[in-house]
Amino acid sequence: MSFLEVKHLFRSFGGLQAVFDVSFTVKKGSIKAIIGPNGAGKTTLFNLISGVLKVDSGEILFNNVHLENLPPYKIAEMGISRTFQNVKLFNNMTVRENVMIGRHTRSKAGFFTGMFNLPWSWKEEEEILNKSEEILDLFHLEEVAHLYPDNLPFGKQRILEFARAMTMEPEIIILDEPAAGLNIHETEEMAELITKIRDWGVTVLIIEHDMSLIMDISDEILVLSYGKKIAEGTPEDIQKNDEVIKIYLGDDDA
Amino acid sequence: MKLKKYYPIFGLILAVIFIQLLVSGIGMQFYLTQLTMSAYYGIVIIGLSILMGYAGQISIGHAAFFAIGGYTTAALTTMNFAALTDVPIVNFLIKTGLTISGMDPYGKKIIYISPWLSLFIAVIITIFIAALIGVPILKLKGHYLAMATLGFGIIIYRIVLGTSIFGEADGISDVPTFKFLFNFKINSDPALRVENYYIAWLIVVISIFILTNLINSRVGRALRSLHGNEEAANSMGVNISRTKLLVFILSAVLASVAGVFMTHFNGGIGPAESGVMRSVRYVAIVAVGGMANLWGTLIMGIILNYLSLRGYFGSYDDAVFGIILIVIMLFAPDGIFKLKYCNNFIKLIKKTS
Repeated sequence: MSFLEVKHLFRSFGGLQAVFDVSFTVKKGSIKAIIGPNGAGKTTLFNLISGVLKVDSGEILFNNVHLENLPPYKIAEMGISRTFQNVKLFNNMTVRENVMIGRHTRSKAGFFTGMFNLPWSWKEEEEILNKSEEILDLFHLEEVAHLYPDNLPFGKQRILEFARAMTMEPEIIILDEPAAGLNIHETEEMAELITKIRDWGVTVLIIEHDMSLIMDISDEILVLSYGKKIAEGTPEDIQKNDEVIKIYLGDDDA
Repeated sequence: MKLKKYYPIFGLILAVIFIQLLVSGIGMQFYLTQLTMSAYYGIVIIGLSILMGYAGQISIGHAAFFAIGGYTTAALTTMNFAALTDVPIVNFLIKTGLTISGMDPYGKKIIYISPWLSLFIAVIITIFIAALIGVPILKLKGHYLAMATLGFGIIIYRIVLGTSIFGEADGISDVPTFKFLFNFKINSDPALRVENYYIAWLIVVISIFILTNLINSRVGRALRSLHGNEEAANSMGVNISRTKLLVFILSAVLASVAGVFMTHFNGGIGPAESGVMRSVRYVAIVAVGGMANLWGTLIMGIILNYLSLRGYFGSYDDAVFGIILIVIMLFAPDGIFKLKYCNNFIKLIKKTS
């Protein structure tokens, strides 16, 4: 039994095959990276797994439960959280509240409980606040917790999005280019955070263009090109793989 | 710490009492009538603020929900069941004490439904209609949602205007007194102005208490998050369509309840209450108050409705609200309480204190 298993996944946009017959598995507690040139279908693949897009055919199994075509909030409830390539934060809420949203799937208080502030929700609310403070602390966001996200530098915004996704205490976290647009120091901080959460037992699925980051942190790498799987293996295997080198550096004959 | 969010509500209660004492003290009791009506409109406006400001869903059809509440209670409580006592349902209602009997001015016996029951029925009908139109139209965004709600408002206006049991262009008059708790009465009797003023503001306080709780709760954060970014909210586990529908229904019910009480207070309701210009007025006031600002919208709702009801805008009433909407959108899209000079003013106060 695999933790996360993708079988023969297809998805096209009009005539374009964005994801074509992709299959792979992810081991629990590992960091799996997905790389490939622009337009290779990496983000589409993530959107399929997180339910943002519907699949044409194929299966996505998480702990042997079918995920394909479930709405995103259901997938979140199962313990899969994600970040976005172009950071998507709630700019109308403070940094602290952004992180608190992360507890949504781990709390229950409904509409009526909220409207009348019923006593049984107080403990839950306190738990949400405590967990959020803990996460803010871990991600070094406590000093900006009262600010609004659009006032933060870009690097902090990425980290906030990561923190929000982690507050959920997910089993799998899907990171879509977490280091894009970050400077060297911020990238280092990000790499540190990613390895840290892997050590807690959270499985990481990551798309990234920064090859040194990928080679440093990932346990396994999947290479996509034009929607197809080209190679899969450890960072060492991938570095030696001829086809991957051809995609990234071009053909000798060209 | 926990009580901190309720401080403004205590402030509101004190302000309400202060204004009543002031107005009565200077012998201008008739001002209370407009303040009572403004309070009822205020309920519609804070309900719309939740929907527009916090959840980010526009509605240019909220007058329709106000009218649904008002017309339901008006139609039900002005129907005479005296000749229908043999009908099982009417008989059952009489036996369970859900009807009120009395005499009309000519000494004929009349039996009508208790306003409490009609309030209940109005709320049920509102929930039903809001859910019925909410499910399809809340899938729309921005301009399209605005147009769909506008269309809904026009439909309700036309139905009211063309249906004989709703009195067509005349509306419904002679709506009986609503016997509120502890024998307090909601009606237009000038002798009961103070009583009515406090009842209206009690309902405002309850509404704002509920909404204050809601926006600070788990669901409140969820609905603010879907305003911020729907896709991200969804992938954080927020059920977007359900949350939108619930807040739409809540907002509609508040408008409807305000309509019920206002109708009993005025003793009648006319088709103008469901008109498109009414809806535009509500949207304008929510915009002036700062959208996601319960207290800002409530304060502006009271002030502007009061001025309008006192007739300060004359026959340019609707034009004034149209202009307000344009000016606010151009110069203070975050409401007048968020203007630069307002911030500086607040800073000044903070420094001096």
